Amino acid sequence: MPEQTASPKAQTGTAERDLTIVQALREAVREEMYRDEDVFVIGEDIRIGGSFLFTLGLLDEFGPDRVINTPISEAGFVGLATGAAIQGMRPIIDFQYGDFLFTAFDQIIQQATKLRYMSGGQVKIPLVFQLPTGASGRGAQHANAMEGFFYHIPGLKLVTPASPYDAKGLFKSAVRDDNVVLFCVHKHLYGSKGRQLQESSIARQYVPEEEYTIPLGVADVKREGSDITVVANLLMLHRALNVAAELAGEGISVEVVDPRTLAPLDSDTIVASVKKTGRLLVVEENSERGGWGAQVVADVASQAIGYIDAPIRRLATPDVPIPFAPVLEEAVIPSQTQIREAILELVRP
Amino acid sequence: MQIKKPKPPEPRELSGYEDGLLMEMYRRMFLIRNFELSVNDLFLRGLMPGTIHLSHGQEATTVGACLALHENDVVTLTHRGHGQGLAKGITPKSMMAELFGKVTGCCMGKGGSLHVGDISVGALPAIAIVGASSPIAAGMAFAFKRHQTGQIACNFFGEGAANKGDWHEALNLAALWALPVVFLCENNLYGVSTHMTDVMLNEYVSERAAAYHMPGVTIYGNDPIEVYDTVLEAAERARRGDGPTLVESLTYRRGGHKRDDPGTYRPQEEVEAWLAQDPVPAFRERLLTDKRFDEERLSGIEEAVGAELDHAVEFALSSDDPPTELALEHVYA
Amino acid sequence: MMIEIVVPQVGEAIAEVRLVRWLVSEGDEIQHGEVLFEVDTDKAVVEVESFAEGTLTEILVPDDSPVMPQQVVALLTPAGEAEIAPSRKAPPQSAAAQAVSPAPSGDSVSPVARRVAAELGVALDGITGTGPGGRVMVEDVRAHAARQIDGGLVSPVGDRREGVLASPKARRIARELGVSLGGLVATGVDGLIVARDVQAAPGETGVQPLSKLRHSIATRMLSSKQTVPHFYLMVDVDMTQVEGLRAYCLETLNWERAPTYTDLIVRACAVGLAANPAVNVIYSDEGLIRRTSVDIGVAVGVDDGLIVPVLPNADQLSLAETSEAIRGLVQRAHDGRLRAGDLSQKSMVVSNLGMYGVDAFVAIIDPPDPVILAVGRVADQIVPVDGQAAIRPMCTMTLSVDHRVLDGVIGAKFLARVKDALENPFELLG
Repeated sequence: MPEQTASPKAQTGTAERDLTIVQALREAVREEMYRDEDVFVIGEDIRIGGSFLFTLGLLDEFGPDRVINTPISEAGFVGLATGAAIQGMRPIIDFQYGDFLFTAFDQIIQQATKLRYMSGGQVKIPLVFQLPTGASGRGAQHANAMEGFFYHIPGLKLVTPASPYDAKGLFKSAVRDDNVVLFCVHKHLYGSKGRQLQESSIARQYVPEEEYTIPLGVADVKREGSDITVVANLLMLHRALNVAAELAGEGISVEVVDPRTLAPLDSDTIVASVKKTGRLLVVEENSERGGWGAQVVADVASQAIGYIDAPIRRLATPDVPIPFAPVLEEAVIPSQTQIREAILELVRP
Repeated sequence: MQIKKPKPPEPRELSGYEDGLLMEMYRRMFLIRNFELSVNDLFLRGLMPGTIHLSHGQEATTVGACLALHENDVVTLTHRGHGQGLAKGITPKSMMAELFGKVTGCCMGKGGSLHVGDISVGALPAIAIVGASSPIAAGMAFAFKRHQTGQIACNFFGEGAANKGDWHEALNLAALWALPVVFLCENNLYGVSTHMTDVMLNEYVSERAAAYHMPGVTIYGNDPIEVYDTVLEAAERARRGDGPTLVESLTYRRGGHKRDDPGTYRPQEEVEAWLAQDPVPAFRERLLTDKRFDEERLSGIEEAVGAELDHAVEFALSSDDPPTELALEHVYA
Repeated sequence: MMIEIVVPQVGEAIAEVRLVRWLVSEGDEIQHGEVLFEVDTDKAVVEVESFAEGTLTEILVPDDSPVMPQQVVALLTPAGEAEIAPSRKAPPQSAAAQAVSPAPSGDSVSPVARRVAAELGVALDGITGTGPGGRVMVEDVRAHAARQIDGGLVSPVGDRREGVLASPKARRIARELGVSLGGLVATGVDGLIVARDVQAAPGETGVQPLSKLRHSIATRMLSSKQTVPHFYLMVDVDMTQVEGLRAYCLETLNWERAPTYTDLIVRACAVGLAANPAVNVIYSDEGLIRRTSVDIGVAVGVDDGLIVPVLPNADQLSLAETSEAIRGLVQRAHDGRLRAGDLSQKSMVVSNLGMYGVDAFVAIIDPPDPVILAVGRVADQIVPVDGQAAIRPMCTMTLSVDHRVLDGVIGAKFLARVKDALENPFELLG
């Protein structure tokens, strides 16, 4: 079964195979559940598909033994999933909003990501967390960029796909990975009915019917260019691609790199890109202080300093909780305009 | 604060219990007692690194419970896990080496006292976050049920955990889904320095079981037979598919919360009352009332245990430290 | 009679400077050219040497004092001989910030070098000087410091204190190309000198870019004179038709600018070389190497010397293309932005001094080219035409030829072809 690394750049193929992320994920989870009986899905309101309809129809197809609706007990069922994983099962823990993971913070950080290490390798804990992430007009408690909080934690993997093709392949790899994997999809990128979908060239995309996986820890150059490297993920990736397309018409060649996995980070691809372009802009939705983009900058500064021809910049949300008012939310999350201006400032044609 | 004194019930006849079981019961209790005292000694001599939470005084609970389980049942351990671990079958030498942070320890020196464990004998490496192990125990039980292995999980915790959110969520889920788990509360009356009556209105933790529609029972935990019988029944229930049970075992620690804690917050009256009910010599005496046991036999067990412990200390002291590279391993599977 | 030692005019403005320190003391016997004191103009520390010989009778201004140009700072009693001997020293290295004296004196380290060494934390002993008399110059200090740093990308701290802000890539490229960052125009964000700013700069080192070019010209010309057996061929070319073509381009073809004489002469030489491939060779000890393309260098005078950018494939260009290309080369040469490709191998050089009023001259071949064409001014002369005296615009061109490569006949044929092309120039439109 083929393992791919690079995503297709253009939409090709039949319209019926042009999928949104949530459609791609539904295929992925079904394939994995058919493949391995120990895979099961657990979470709140799964029977109605959860908040972004990832689990739609799953209960009917696999029954209540493998699709488990829980009480509002995040710490409880994350711990339970941990115990089940220790004893050989492969839980997929579905969160309606990734934000609710905080109530199980201790279970993830202190138990799930540490038990293998503390025991000297006696146990392994394969867990996948399906986490809707990012700001989506619902106020601060439903707007957390989950990836920022967990980026720092050893013992877990953190995947942030932004396109349907990537999402499907990465999800399958996540399920098969023997570790704790946080799988974060931006709320505006699922493409579930009735929900906002960010417009860009890859929000909806051809996804092959044949099975494929994408390895974790491999970045993808979503757009090649020569004047500047822009590293961006999730929603920011789509904005960066839109800006890059616009700037191409103005003679500025932007290379856009999608890390796809934040931990482990494919810094080799990023460094190679910056060595080529000499300029780096990181665009991340998480708040600025200690965001994952700071690591990218550190890696580049460490490995490619002689190639840097302009100040290295990051665009991130300021260190504030996300405000509700749409104009305010829009103002704090890095926008296409801000991305465009930042690029122009650094490229100085 | 309300003083709670021990109320030992009438001890049961030993004749109904197998010779091997009784012997093993005593051996393990004696082993745990002397293991903890050796550790204390080593600590006093400045040879033992880290912090130590000793469990001597609680042997009857841990041993009685573990002997009621099958070998392939899995227990979760707490921060006071030496006794629980030894009771389930971790070898003294691998545990001692772990306490010294040696590569020959049960966790290769990566866990230390707070995370001892050996999954091969059914002891999940200890979780030191109070209450956090309960959902995990329920989760293991979930897997056992799903796979229909006939195994059960036994979750050791202290009475303080009964105030943690994770604990409540775990009990609710376990009862809701009829998971094969025994929630075993080692109620030694104190969470560090805080008496249970200062932090909950229930007289017994077991009262809370009713809130989740699961059976709850409180027993005198310094009688290993009492514990054994109760846990056996709860385990059978779980294995039958009738769901979890909350067993509350009343006991007392003979030392402070941790090694350097003198425990002066405990009222003298209470301390004396409990220390007088020392489970290890009490059981020894009781065994001698049974004709299958005599002084010679018991001394033989004790000597063997003593030798095993001496060897464990030697082994630990002479073992190698873990190589530096080991610090980077076991992060990912 | 006492001689007044004054503070000379250092730098451009008449403004207060600082007398840093005296290098001699009262009563010292002073030699001509000996360094007396140092003056700090904020731009640089300048050494002031003595123009007189004698005894330094009195120092009027102490170390570390503010002084004005022309201010008398010491008195010197001249030696017995009244005449002050003319300077026998080599001409000054440059007119830039560096002090003028090349003669070794009590101080064998230039003041700038000393200051930079202190900033970089480099010990002066152990540094070999490449200045006159083994004097340690600032380039020597920098080179020494750069060697100390592990060949890596870490800039010496002194770079920062120079007041130069440059991106790491720019610094790396500057180091590789031997370009000094000071004096470059910054086009990057936050006033950073960035890579393209460095790449556009001419390849020169140190604080005195002039000296290297000068040095280079000196070396090459000397070598040419010493090793190439020159002979010379002269022609007077009637430029009447050339004038006509120029007017034609401007008025009929509506060119923005008329082609210059140089454009036309270069075109003519291209035609000449294409027709005489025997001239398009270079000399090597192993033999004559035939060149595969016709590339013509155009001598361009710049501030500090002569640069010869090259027009590649000159035979394949039209006159219009030639004109535009040469204009580009000249502009870039003047802006100091010649590209690496502009300074390549060539078939010959055209050197035109006509615009400076030179009637005719003889040029030195630039090896390994076999020839160079020296062009004088176009001037009206009285010439016989059909037995009558006529006034025609004439131009004298001298072809210097390397006799190892070419003989008179071939040279003459080539020159004749060039002359013919210029006298019947409409073929040059190409």
